[in-house]
Amino acid sequence: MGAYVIRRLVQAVFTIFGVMLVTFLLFRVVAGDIAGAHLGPKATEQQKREWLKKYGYDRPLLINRQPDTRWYDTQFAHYVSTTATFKTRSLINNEKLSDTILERAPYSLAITVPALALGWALAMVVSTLVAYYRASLIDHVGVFLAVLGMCVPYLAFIMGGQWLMFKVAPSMAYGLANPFNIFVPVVISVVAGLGGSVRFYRTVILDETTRDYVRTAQAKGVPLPSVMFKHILKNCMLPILTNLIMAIPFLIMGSLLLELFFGIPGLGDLLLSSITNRDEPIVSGLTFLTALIYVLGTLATDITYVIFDPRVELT
Amino acid sequence: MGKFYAIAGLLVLALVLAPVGFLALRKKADYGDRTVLYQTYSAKVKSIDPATCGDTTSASMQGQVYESLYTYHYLKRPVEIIPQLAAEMPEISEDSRIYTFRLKPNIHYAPNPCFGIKPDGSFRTRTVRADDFALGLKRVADFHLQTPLAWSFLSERIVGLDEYRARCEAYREGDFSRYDMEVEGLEAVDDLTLRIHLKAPFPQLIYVLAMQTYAPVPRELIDYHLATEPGPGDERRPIPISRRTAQITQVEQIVGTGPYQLTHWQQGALMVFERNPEYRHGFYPTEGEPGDAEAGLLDDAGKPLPFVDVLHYECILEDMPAWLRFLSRQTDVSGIPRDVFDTVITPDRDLLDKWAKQGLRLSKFTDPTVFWLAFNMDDPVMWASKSLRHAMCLAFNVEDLIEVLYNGRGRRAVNVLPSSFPAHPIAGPGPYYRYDMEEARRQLDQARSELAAVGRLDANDQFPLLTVDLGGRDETSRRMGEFIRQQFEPLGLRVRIELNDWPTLQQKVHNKQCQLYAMGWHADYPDAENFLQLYYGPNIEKGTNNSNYRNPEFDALYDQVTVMPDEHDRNEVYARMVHMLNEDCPVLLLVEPMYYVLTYDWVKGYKRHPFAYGMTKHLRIDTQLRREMGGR
Repeated sequence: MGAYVIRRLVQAVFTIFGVMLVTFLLFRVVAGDIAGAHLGPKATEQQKREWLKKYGYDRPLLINRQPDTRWYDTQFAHYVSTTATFKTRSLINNEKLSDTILERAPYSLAITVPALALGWALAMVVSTLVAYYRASLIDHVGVFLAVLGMCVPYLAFIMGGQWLMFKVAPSMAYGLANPFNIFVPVVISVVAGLGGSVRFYRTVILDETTRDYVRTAQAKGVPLPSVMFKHILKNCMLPILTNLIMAIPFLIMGSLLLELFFGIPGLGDLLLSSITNRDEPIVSGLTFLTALIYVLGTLATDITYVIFDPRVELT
Repeated sequence: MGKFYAIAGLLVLALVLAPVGFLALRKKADYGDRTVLYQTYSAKVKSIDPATCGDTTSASMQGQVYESLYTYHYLKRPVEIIPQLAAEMPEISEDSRIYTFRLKPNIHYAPNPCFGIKPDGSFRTRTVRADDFALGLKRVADFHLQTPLAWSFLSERIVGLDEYRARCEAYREGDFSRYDMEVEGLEAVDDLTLRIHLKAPFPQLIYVLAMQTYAPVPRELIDYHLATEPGPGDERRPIPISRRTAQITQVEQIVGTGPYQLTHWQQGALMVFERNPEYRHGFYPTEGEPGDAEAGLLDDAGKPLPFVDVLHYECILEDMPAWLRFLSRQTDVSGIPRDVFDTVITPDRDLLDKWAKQGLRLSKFTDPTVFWLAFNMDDPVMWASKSLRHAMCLAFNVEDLIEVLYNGRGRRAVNVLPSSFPAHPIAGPGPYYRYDMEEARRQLDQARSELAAVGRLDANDQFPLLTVDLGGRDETSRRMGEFIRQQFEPLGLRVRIELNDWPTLQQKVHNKQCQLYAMGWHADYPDAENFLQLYYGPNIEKGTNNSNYRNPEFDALYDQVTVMPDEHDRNEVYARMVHMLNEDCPVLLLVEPMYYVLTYDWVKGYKRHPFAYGMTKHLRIDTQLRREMGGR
């Protein structure tokens, strides 16, 4: 497995480098008047030229062919060195990306981690319940509610939930004046995501219930709850954990809408607002971060397969 | 298996509860029995450094902390400039090139460790000196600081300052010895006298120095906060030059003379300002404009400011949560989101009774802003036919635009100046800035001959397809585009709408690739020069005249008027210049927007100022009434 992990890590370096190159080129191609975007409509041409010089946007893109200069004294080399070390600074407020992430990520995680954990646990319980009572009224009602939840837009859950909170407990409906306020967006996130998860896990569990070993266990007189919790759920873990682990890399980036509506100063809107504000170093840094944790997340998923299914071999 | 489920359950419980522990560790706001103003803001604060301030949200926050030499009278309209840190209006030399400012004595900065620490652990302060203003101006000129707005008003104005900026480039950003370089035009004559030498007369200097972006900066701030960092024990150690930044970015680095100190700033979430104990020089005005006394705006006349102890500002980027928060009486002041406008305001633009009965009050203000569609005068079609420009102005139903897209919040702009400017009524409305389809058709017939004469009609002798560029891709821009297209349809003009993001629009405007495009201007100061510079020929090169309008007669008047010391004389010339623009129509004027603000009855003394920031110090909160009415 060691060789496999090393090989995957080497591949990851190339993947991430590719992501960085594409992001760099895309931003340079679609950047428009980046100096004008930062200096505002009242800036003069002279100011724009000075700005481009100050931030190194007047350097060659990929290779420096100017005499008496180093070939790598380019925008791309600067971009790679500052992005990969998270030393890049915002063009808007000069803040270092690593500081921004350290300051904001805990707030994002304060919503996404409990929402993931609670959502996962609830979805497991509900889906096991509806699968256990398959084709009964409980199953029908459960599936109906799950589909209904999937049909309601996420924004509707947020606005409805917040409106309700403003009616019943206004001080809890916005901000984090009280630490327990965090549970309002968490609960909304769980409720909004429950339908999809229940449908998915129910299908996974039902797929498993038709297996031979289940029939054998039941034929031997093992009670259904024992079959369900001791055998079926254990064997469902592979797709369930895949689903769970693949969600982990995205936790740090937060939830844009929840953070916006509930005044959570997380990373949710940072990527979007950085794109809108042409804050290219921050966009590049966050893209790098996402690529990095996604690649590591998929690797972690593969390793987990080995732990939960001894038949899987990583070669 | 049971153990597995138990561990999983415990893990889930721990993960769910962990954030509460993290959030409980944060410093909690406890204002005790102090008076607090609760308000929201809808855009992120980009800067807390006076020199780098370039957006209105940052400016409104900085206005609580920083002060400049002059400010505006809170109540009087038309606006009136008054001394703030200056003791009086400046002494101006005969050739209008030397301004001497005398400072008020005994103005203290807010206490800060950069001035030293007293034996009891509290921070020292010191009085404001003339050289602090010189340092503030040098920072605005500093090549290493991003000061586009502040520098645009000083560039090519002060003797030696442009040269200073050029010399700064050779220094590293963290090498603050550049602030020791002398600038010929900035002279601290003594502690309380500042002299500024101008390259040429610049009568608008007084307005420029009313912006807090030119606030004084004590040298101790640079040497303590930007050049050193906490070391072992109580010592501070130097920061290596390579690691220093020249910009003020941390709460503790803010040192101002204003009524408040910033005590807490969580980017994109919360700003808390607390009363500056050293602020003693502000008093509520004793006179205003007619109607102010009846509106209760003179009830606090002559009282020392500020009235509120703490300003608690929450950043809420979305309209609806901010609105719901206001309705639930968690905040004191609010705008009205477009989506709920009709449920709050009557068709004749008053507050609906049901809201008035709940203790809400409506205030309406027109800001000195004008929006327009600019004609690119370098475009062969737009340039060739003045009648086509006239026809398009006459065919545009601006009143409908205001009703449909602005909820009626605005008025038609009838010349290029905001209606609150003294030169606006002197110049009067432009003959083509009205809705008149008959006249538009007549002008269009004339336009057809003009374009035919220069070969600009298409193969079928029709008007060429016109392109309008807008700086936005959102729903509002799409609706605006559709509205524009509909306006020119009855004339038979074919129009294509291009939606761009803002930087792309700017790039296209810079490259002169647009034919018509949406633009606007918010006044920086109440002098028509601020708007007329947008049509001054030499400013095409600088990028500020982006309609590419050229008129030698206009340029000659501009050269003449910008150095005229007397405001009344200037306004006469401004009016002549506006007449030229009214005739040539380099822009299709649209709207002067209007703002509606709601306050609860417990908020006293609210009057929005069109230019000045930092006026919150005039607000008083009746806390007892707030509690009685269900507020915080």
